[in-house]
Amino acid sequence: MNVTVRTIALGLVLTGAASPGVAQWLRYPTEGIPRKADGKPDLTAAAPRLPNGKPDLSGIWHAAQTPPCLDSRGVERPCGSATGGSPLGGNLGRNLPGGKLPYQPWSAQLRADRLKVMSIDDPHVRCLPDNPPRHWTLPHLTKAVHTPKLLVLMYEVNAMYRQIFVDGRPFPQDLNPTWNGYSVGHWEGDTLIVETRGFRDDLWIDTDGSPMSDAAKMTERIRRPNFGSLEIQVTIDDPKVYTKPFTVTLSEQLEADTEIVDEFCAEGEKDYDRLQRSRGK
Amino acid sequence: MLRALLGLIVLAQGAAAAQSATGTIRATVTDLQGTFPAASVQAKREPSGLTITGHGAAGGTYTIDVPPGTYELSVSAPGMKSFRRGGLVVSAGQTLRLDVRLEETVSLRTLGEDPTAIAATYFNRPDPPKGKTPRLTNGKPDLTGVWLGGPTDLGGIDFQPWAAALLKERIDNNFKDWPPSFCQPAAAVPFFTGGFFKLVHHPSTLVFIVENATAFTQMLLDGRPHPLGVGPYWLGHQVGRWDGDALVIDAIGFRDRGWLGFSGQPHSDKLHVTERLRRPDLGHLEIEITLDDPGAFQKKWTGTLNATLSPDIELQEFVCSENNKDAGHLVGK
Repeated sequence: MNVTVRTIALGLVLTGAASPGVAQWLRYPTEGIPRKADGKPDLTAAAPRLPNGKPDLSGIWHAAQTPPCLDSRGVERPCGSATGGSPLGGNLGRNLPGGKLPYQPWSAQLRADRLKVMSIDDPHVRCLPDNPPRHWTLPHLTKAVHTPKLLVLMYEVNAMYRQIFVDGRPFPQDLNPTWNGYSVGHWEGDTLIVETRGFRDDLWIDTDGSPMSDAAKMTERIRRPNFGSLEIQVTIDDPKVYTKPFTVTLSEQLEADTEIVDEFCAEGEKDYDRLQRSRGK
Repeated sequence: MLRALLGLIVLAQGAAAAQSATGTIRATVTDLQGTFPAASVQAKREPSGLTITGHGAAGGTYTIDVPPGTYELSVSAPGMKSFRRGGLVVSAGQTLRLDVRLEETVSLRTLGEDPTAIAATYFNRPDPPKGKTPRLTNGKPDLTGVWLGGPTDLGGIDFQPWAAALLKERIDNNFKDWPPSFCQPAAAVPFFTGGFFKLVHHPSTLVFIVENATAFTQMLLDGRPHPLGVGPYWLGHQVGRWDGDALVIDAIGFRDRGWLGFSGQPHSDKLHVTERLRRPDLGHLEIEITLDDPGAFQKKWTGTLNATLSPDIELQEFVCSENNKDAGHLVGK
């Protein structure tokens, strides 16, 4: 694999199709954020609470494990306005033994095939949803709005959303296969346990192209240890694709005093055709 | 998507011309199952192109009052082949009757594609539940719920000439440039999108999610003003405050030459939207909408949209970009 070309392709994928120029950051001092004496947000303050006493996960979140910014020779440089993203966005198994997810032979081959063409078939490039757990890793903002019975995650990319029902409902019978699956949550102490079923059979869970199938059962254990951070322990049990269940830990940092903006991916989208034309070259 | 189309067709009520000496076209629209109450019926004058939209009534009968002349009648409905007949001569004081039998298009009759079931979604709904207005912890009404809006007649907006010309161009073009055909938002005013929508009410944010188009928008309730130079956004920058038990939403920062809704009415980047949301009881939501657009309108427009709660319904995932085939098949002038 040509590292330079691969990096460029990854960059194209991660910057999102058809973003008109560099991200536009809105600045607005937001009510309810604890402040230090100098007025800056105190992100180490205690997590806010819902009326029922449980942690309120509301906020604008962004993958906290920002990878270093590299120039075309692979040398680290200042990141400028880049918004980062988690290194696990490229390879979700990066921190696991061997540095990879426990693929079955067929899924290892599928991922290798996707990598060989520099992930040009990534659904993200076609304005399709960044299904969980992928949305926690990408360099885009997610706004969480948390009410006692519902957690809504609003993704800035293409105005996609995900609902997590915390009202005690069971999974419906015979779920439709969906990108986001059907998510229900319950509390164990201050940890929100989110169980998701009903995924489609053809999902990507990282930019390298690691697959996830309709057999997958996903559990996210979400904590807000302080005002400024979320920790999400993700366990995926997908016996069609992986030899055993695996668990990875993702973290998010609060983006204070800003707001999400319009980003409609399909507007003037040109990336997909151009990437497809590179196939076989 | 068909459910989406139907919702929008219900909303699409074009400007009906009031004329002193008119004739009438009366079309009874049926499909294989019987009468069809959810069609879009238009008479287009030949050759000037003046288009007048018909209003439906029980029994699938649509009545269009038109100035005397020669007309082409077009009838379309979700899941059905369009009907079109030209050379219809209408005289003053006379009624021209037509029986229009719509044929089905190729349909897999998969989930959500049965036209009868779609019509039933709108016309055979149970009454909304009775009960008191739910409240947030701050004592204000909680607007949370899955809602289905009733029709809003967007006719009667007094447009400036350029905007009237753009509306006519969109109608003549069979609305082929309507943004959702290209997986972009359906309406600058979210409540004009049609179909089911969900409100999630947090004391600092009201989230609006629509099932049948891309996709959510938010109304910020923490007391902030609009930022300077905000937007341009498809659905504007929306902030809200309480006026008693009414939540008043104020939106600016729109794109220029956008679509207010499916029926093609344009707006400019000077659009200013005010909405008063009230939930007088558990099952009802009343939204009074005022549109002020000094860039496109001659004067302000006010209308009301009534929505009812659908307590046992949840939104389903709809991903427009997935295998969207519409864009390449739309025809216009």
